[in-house]
Amino acid sequence: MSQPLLFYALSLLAIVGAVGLLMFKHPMNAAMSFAVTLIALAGLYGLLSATLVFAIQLIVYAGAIMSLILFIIMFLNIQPDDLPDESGYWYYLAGGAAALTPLALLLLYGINSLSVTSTPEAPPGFGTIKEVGVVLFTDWLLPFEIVSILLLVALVGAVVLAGKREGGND
Amino acid sequence: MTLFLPELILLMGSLVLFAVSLGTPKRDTLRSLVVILTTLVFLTSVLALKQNGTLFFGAYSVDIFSQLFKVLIASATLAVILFSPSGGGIREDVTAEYYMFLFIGVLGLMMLVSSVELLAIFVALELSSFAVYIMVSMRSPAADGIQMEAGMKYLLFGVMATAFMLFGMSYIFGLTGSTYLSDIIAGLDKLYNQPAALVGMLMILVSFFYKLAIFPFHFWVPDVYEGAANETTAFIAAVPKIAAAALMIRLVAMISADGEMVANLLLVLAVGSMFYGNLSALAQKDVKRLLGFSGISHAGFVLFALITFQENGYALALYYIVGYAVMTLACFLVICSLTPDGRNLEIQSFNGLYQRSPLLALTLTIGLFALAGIPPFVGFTGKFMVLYNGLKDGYLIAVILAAINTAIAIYYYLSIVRAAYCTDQETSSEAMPAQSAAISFTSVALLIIIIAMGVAPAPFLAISASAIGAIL
Repeated sequence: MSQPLLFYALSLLAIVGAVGLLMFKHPMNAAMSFAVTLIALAGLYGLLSATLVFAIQLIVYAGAIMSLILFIIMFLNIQPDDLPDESGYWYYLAGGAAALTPLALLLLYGINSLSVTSTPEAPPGFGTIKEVGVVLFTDWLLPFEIVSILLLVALVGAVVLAGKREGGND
Repeated sequence: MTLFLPELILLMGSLVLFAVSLGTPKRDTLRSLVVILTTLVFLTSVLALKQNGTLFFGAYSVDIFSQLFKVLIASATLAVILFSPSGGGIREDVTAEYYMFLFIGVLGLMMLVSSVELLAIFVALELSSFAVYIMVSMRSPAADGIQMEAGMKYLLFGVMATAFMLFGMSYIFGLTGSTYLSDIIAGLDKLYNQPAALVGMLMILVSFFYKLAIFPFHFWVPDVYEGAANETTAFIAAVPKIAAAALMIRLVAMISADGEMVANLLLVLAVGSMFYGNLSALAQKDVKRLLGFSGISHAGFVLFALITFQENGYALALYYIVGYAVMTLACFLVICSLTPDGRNLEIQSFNGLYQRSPLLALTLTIGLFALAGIPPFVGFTGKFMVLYNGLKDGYLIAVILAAINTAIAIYYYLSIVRAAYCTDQETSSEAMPAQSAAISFTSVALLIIIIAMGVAPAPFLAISASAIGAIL
């Protein structure tokens, strides 16, 4: 029964990484800490027998997207002087925690009062490329198609917002 | 084919605009093209009104409910396009892209009202939101960069609301094992005493509270309204709110099994929205900020209509949001026509408007009277019926608080009317921009709808009741 142990270990790692993302002052440290979260999440997906999602999480998120973020941070070459002043940091943190505590308690209460004790085992073939593909192109065809338009919006939007202004001063 | 025609026309229109954006189109030709395309969208949505069926393996449901909302979305968009000045507010080099994002945003909203599957709802909502985030930031740079701040704030709050929604969806998916609303309704029937199911549904609703600007998810409103170009604000104030109301009706109808606790929670949010919106609006100088806060209080009334968890309550919510969209569009029509250069207006800018343009002054006055809830306009009828409905269900205290709010609201709405009618022009020597026939036509049409919906609400309520009947 190593599964619960693994689950708690990976969850803890994911939370530690997320907290690190918020707490580290330098973006580079924060990004590396974020990578920890992404890899821990990949482990959680693996525990759920979602093999394809596990692989995608590692290759796309922990691999491609993280290296993109790291490249951008390196390009910007951020010095300690460039970092914003965060003097009220702890007050904001405490205020946010106080505001979110009731919500967290509500969620915990909701989860604890669930009567489900056991979950059925995943059917054979669950989480493989074929199974995910079948679901993606039948039940979830509509969201899949809308995402293609969403990507167009993101692409053109990035060009419009970041593109050079003609006659502008920036 | 006709089932999906309005969406296909919108998609085609946005691709045409994308192609046009690669060249250097003239503003006037671009505007005529957009007017033609939007009219086409409106006509096809009317044509598809009576369609019935499902698409995409049951994830996309076409019925009178969704089709009615598509007509409403298309007509509100057409109104915004007709009265928006040809340029001025938007960066000149990206005008074609601006209209492309407008079309894609409308496409997202139309897909949203037809989606009956959680992932499709999420992606369609994101599609419409991202297009609007970018539209906000495309205001001409004369505005000192507040448009970037506005776009950023809109994005960050939107992402937070989306995170809540996804979290809630994960709960619902975990509990019922399906993302299809029809399966979820069947599954929730067995789970009515599970707090987790309720929490999940409420977290999904948060995203639509954010779109409709209900307290405490309203923080983006004042800055986005002020920072976005006038025509963008007009769009944000009317069109996404119609779609958000549609989805709120759909989702609230799903949780009606155990109304008591949810009703109390929604009641607090509704009354909170009314007080927050009205009290904040009292202190505003900028007209768009004022209308933003007034929108928060009207969102409270829409939510209040939903609390009865009955068919006539949902029909009233639909009636109220349509009325609100028409009234707000009438006010924004005046704002847009007065500012061909796209600057922001203060209340004093309306001084002596009745001398400069009687029609615009009349439109503004009737729009504001209706928003304030003065008979015989739609705002009065809507508020009256919402309060009457609440009273019948025994929410006496909430009804009294809402009535106090309508009294507060009269003060700030009428202060604008006072500026337009009771002040002489000496303080404002601005030349009156020429009005096109399209603007006069739109304003007369909006006025007719405001008065007709207010004087004879019965046929409109019957239509909305039949639409609601299709999803219950």
